[in-house]
Amino acid sequence: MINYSEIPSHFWLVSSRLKKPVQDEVPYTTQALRQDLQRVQIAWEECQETRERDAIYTYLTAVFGLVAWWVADNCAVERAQKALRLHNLRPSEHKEPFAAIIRCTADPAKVDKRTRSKWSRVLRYALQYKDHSEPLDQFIKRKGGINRGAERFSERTGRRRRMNTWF
Amino acid sequence: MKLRMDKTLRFWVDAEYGVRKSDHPNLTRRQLIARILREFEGCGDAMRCLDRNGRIVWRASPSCLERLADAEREAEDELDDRL
Repeated sequence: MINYSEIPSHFWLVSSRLKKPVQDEVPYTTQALRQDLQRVQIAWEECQETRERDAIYTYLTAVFGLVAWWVADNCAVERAQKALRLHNLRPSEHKEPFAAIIRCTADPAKVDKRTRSKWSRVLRYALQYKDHSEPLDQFIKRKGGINRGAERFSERTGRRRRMNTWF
Repeated sequence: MKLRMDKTLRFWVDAEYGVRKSDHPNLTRRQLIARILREFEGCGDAMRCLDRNGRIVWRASPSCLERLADAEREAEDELDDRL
């Protein structure tokens, strides 16, 4: 029986369903990383400009899309750390790639640590269980929404929060 | 590994390859295309993502598509003005 609570959070990123690392032969430059982060940041700004209830999914889809291919390229952790350094943030405080990219691209005044953690967990849950062909928003809604998806991830990893009011 | 691209990006990469290939006789087609993709990615015109099968693919970025759509509209307007 696997004790999930013993598994570090980055396990979910380096052991996705893509078991064999597929290295792309085109090097991923710092300039390319900046462009990718800028695209995610634009998605954040666009979702802030609208009052539509589901607007946040545009942003989460952008974050997910970026980290998902990094994971497939087997370089998610190091690229997320590089992204943090580019934003003059300390990588040690944001070890998990989804949380790191959210920290780099969303307004920290609007997205606090708890929200970041919640979004990061629901995205890790999607990374593990979502079929590649299913849109992220559809998957999350099918699983009961962002809060429920984050809870599901916590349940899977055995990291139950002591206070339900956190969510 | 095959460099998979969407149609729009493939068109522009092929066009760029046609322009540059005589300047790089020592590079294979694959090497030159890889170089072009790296440059396109660096300037924000190309991006990588996963396809429906979880494979890494290249596609034209949203900003690139937007620019192309603008250019197309402008060309159509110009044509209308001439007619």
